[in-house]
Amino acid sequence: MSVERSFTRIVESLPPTIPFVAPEALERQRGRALQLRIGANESNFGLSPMARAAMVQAVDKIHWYNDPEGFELRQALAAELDVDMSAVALGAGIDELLGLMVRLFVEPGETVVTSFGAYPTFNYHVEGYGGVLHKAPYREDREDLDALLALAQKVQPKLVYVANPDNPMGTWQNADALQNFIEALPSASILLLDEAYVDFAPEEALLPLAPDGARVVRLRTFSKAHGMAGARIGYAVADKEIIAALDKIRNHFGVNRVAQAGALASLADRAFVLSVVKQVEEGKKAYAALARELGIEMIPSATNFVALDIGSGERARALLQALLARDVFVRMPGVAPLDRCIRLTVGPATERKVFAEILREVLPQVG
Amino acid sequence: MSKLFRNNIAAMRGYIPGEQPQDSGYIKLNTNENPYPPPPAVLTRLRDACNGDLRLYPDPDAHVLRAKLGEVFSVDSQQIIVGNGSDELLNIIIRSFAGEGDKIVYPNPTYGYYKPLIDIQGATAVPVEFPADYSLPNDLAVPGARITFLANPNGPSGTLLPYSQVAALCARIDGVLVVDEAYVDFSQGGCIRLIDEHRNAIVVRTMSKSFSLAGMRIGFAFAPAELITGMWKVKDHYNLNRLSLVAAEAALENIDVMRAHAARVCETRQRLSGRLFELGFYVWDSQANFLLARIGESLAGHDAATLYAQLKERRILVRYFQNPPRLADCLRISIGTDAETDALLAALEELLAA
Repeated sequence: MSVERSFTRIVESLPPTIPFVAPEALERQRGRALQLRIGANESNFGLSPMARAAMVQAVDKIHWYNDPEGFELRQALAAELDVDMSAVALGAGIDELLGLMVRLFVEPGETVVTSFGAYPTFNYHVEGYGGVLHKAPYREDREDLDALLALAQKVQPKLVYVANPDNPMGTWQNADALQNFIEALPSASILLLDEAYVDFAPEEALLPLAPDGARVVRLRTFSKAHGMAGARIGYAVADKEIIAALDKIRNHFGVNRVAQAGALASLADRAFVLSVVKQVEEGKKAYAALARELGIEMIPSATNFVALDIGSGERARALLQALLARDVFVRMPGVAPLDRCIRLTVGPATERKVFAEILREVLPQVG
Repeated sequence: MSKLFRNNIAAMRGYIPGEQPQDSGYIKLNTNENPYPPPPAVLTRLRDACNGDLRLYPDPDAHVLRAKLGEVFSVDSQQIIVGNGSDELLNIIIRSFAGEGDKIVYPNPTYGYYKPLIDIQGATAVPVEFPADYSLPNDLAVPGARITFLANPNGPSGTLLPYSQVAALCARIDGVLVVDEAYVDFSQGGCIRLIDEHRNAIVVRTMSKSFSLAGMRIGFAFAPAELITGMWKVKDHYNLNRLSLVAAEAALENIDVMRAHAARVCETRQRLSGRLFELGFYVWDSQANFLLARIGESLAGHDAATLYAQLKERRILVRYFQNPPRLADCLRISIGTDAETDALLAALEELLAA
């Protein structure tokens, strides 16, 4: 057979790149461990002790399949969110759910709307399924709902992607503005609302959950405030018809037994999540003070990370490299004008102190 | 709302996984899990991994695990991809090699998940009926096929095709051959060397069965590097979580325990098969951790559906397939511990005597 023609046209056309260079890959390339890993918005406040205990216990039964329905976890999420269980689906992280959503709605050649500089993994999935991306620019470091709406009305996309709070800038939308945006979207468009950072968001940014009949899919995760990125647990809240369709195509056993047990226990440990949120608040204040001290601007953030405005893409890239030379892993937005910033995760005080000392030393070096 | 979905998804039926009662008290012989738990060293490593490091994303390259797999199976790590269960890998393979309407061939009956995965992609499923003895169908090399799936050993028959036949098939088909070796550790077979001899070969394995890690979802596949590179383009980058990576690494370090467990399963399978013949069943020659038993002529008056239900009443779960018709007089029985097997046999003896 001719192997040259074995891949589909879509796969042939894809670049051999992945959305991110992983910190592990950085370590392997450099042959040296990282000192600070604050580039992927992992929660350096760790894991709920209740979650840990539940996971240790769940290890006893790993020779059995996990529950493909994720019944207990979905039931607990539904109760917590005050929605019906039929409106909730689990996935191996928001990333997997984003891919499934593209697969659910987008035929090859159909259009999808997002913002320049928004979450690259979503774009990766759209291209992986042969969808066509249209992008609107950010305005004043926020996803521009007006521009996204105008673009959506023009290209009539199957999906529109918005993150609230936003990544990579950390900004947020007002719930009313989002509601108006949703109502004005073309009738054949579904909004994917990525709420990975919702636990850190102010009240005004919280769009009420009303999945029935809504053309909105809310995507949430245990990767951030719950400190469980390594276990890969995300969930979608949407109209039951969307969830039922998702159920046809998802990887049924995709959230493993230990992860399900951990998420269930972490969800019950409200005090833990609240304490993480509070410490992140303190950390953001500390970084705001550091930014003032160094004469740089910090973009106000509703997440567990902050974007520091370094002035230009060139300077931000230079700073990123200078930090990496000091074994500090941070990331930065991929496109102008967002790329004038570096993005760093807000961790505990000890970590912030180390970062502050290094930043004070290297910032003057980047011109 | 439904008109917003892709047409093939709106039209397709979903997959119904085997029963997974989460309460204890059942003897579970219905989903081919290993009755022996993973080695204590694996459990310890995994318990230790339930810690604050879970805040960190997993390594998307699974660098350490792929290196270990390479070492154990004598394969270059460039020829290895790992997945969230082999189900994810099967999905990745379909997305990589078959577009909408493209033909995907598999002998039938076989693993029930191929069909839904093909439907999700909007590809065209071309099932080719197995002969009654589950030998290789003559017409499996379908012109224009993009993918041919071959579960070897096959489910639900447990039968194994020899390497020479698989290699010959690989040489003559169009498109890629995917040898799904989920159960291979319970056999004397194994086709990994296909990938050095054939540019179109992919061999898929899982730790759900022989390695006793069904709850951790670990699959891995071997293929020529060229094919792996393409599959990597559509893989969800954080597809395998940290816990499963740790479990898989530890399991490979303790592979001798897996082999010992597999040998025990094979012994029990032998015994169960012999006794089922004596009870009047016909049992295909299984090289897996389950076997397929047909109600023989001497058991006239009994039927598989009733036996399934009666066993379930006695808290013993086996797998009954209402469809296809050729399986309707069969039960698929996973190989449990000796005690579980004795309990099953005692129940069957009683039910058949009644």
